[in-house]
Amino acid sequence: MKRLACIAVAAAAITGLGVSQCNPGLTLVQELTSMPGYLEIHTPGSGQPEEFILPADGTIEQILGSGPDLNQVSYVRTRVAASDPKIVLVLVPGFLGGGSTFDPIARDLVRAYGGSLEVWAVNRRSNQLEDRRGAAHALAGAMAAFGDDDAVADALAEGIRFYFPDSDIDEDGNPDGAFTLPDEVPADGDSSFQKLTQDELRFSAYWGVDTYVRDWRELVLAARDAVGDDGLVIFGGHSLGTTWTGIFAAYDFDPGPGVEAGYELVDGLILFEGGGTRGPAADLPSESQYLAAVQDLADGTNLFLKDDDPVAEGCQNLVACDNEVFLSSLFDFIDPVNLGGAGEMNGLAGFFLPDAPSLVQRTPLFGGFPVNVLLAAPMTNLALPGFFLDDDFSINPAFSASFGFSANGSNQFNPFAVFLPGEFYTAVDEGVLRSWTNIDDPLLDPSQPGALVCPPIPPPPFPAAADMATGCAIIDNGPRPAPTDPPARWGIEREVTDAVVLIRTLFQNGNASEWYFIDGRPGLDLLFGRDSSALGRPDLLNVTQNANVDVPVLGIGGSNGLAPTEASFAGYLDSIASTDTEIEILEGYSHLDVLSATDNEAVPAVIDWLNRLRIQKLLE
Amino acid sequence: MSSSARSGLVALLAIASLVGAAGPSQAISYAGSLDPLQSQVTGSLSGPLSGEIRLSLGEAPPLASTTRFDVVALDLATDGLTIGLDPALENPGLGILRPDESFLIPSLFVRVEGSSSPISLTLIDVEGSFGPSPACSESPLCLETSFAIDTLSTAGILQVDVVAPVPEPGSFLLATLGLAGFAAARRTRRIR
Repeated sequence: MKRLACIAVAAAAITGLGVSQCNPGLTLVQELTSMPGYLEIHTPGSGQPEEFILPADGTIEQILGSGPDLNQVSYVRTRVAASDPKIVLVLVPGFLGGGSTFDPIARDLVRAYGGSLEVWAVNRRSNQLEDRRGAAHALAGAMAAFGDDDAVADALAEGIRFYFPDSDIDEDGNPDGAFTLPDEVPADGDSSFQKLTQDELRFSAYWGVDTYVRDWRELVLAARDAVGDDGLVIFGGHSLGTTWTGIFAAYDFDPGPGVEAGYELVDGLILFEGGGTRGPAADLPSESQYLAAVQDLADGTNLFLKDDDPVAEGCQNLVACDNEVFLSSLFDFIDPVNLGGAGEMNGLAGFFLPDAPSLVQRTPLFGGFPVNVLLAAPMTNLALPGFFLDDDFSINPAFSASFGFSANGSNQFNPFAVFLPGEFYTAVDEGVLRSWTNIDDPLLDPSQPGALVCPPIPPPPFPAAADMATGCAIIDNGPRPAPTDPPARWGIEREVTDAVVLIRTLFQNGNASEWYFIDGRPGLDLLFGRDSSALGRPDLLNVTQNANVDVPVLGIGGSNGLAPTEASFAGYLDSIASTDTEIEILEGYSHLDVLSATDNEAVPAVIDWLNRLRIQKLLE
Repeated sequence: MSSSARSGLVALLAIASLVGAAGPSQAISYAGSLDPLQSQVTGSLSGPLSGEIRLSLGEAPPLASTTRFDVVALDLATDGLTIGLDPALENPGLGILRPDESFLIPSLFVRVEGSSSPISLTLIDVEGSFGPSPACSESPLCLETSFAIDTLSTAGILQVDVVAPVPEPGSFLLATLGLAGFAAARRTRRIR
């Protein structure tokens, strides 16, 4: 028997190939798409008696048009056109993350599988509320003007003025004023950035665990339709997304006596740089307290969500001391909504004008107190995300990738440790425009004259000589802990992520962030962790199947990240029934590197695991 | 150890290996060389194809049920072109073998090398057969498959046809042991 099997694709002539590539001729398609999600009855557009009615011509309608239906589940779909997928990965981003977080590894996996695999990277519901008109306008303008740097800068400036009217882009000492764009409701005329308030999003008091996992159930069922019974549907997440992954697997979608468990809908779970779902908190709200908290979130009252003992230091309420439905402050000094717009514009500026002085640094957010203290030195458009997100400079390891250095000035080890603890460098303002050395820069090629020398150094606290460093250094975090030791960083850090690849995720096909991070109701629900039985309200929250989860699990951590050892995953893996578990720890990778690295070592690990699962499925 | 004692040990090891290979939970290894008269590349690059292929099966055919079919080594060559497994992966050639002797490798990850740097290619749904076949009349088993590689270049689509006679695993093992014993004997004689 002899049959024609397949056509694999290569871009170059076999006899005249260039660099080593994987399926280089494939044309990937990536699109931000959406489908009807779970019908949550309070949500605008539900058509149910409980629906929150949006004010006519209110802010949300200005962003989305008249009468929007917000019961949508959107996702960034990466695939090969006209392909027949046999594997779909449904992936949930982490804290403040959007679907584009997964862009680099999604491209790698789809390409590696030659089109028989798709990645569906989830946007949570609030992503649809982001007013991205300014970024879209700037992108279109920059694309049209590509090659004319002045015109590109003008287009980017308009986008920045859309989000930050008080910016002084032209540096004449005066605010430039708002740049406006047409609303989605044509009769409304033009407007600048429409920023939503807590009260405008009160309906999101009903966007908790139950709503989210039912959204993702719709995606999983659609994925199953796409791959067929003998294909694979894998559910996974990154960072906080691994918490969501465990919750989805453990959820019983049947609030009645039957069971429709999440894990039964999928063929495996992937945990990227997060240890999965935790157990319930020590102190859980009762049913009446839970309902009172939901009511406060929904109507903006503080009957329950208030400080129970204002005299004592800190919040004394077991749930929360405010009724915020979305996160209003990051690190207690950055507005995440404004950061979302700034991040998207910074991605565009870094992509189109990488070596020009930073435009975003001229916004009130980045040019004003307190961010201007952290980012005091003038820097280029590409350097700014470096000083914000690179593992050597990020003030939070949850926002870090290893993508190069800034070597044309002094870097000081955390001079603000008194009020901002952490292990990070800052750029000293020496009047020099700080630039960024990407990982593919010839400066990092040891064979080149004048190459940077990046010696391994011990981890902090540094010796005095290393407190003030010019150039680059690689931290050696020491030997690998034993699998049973508490999680700790180890190994020699590596610079593995291409800065341009990373900043591209900030603006394309959606973005890599969640401007309105809905944490009110999810924060309440996640107190119950992987077992909500104590609440006794399966119609509201039904995480009851964790102990029965018996599908294969792959965990991938970075030795310089938040899941640096096998022990990082042990708590969750020990709580489920599955014994088919694998852990891969990638030495030197930081938190985002597992998704964004060039020649990502997570990719072959995932492929090998998927291959094995696919064959197991075919043998069943 | 005397020469006869050493021979006895080799025989015992061979028997033990064969018994182990026949167990239900043991993978069974096969190896064969391509028949260059029937294996070929056609297209802008044309010529006979030679090389080796090694397999690991969950069970020995004839099969009562579908079993694991794993291409564990692949070394194909024609003038100006080599095709091997992707060394970055642990199981780049994993598939299934059905009772009707047809096999399916859903994703075969190969490394193709021409006159320049290698590229990795993924061949989707590679199908073929593994069992007795008139194409390999002098061998009890025969592996046959065909696949195409589209270069998206002036090289166009290359058609790859593979026919490989495969001895029974016991025959292969004994032949290997025999060759090894022969080589060892020669080496021993030289040392003396």
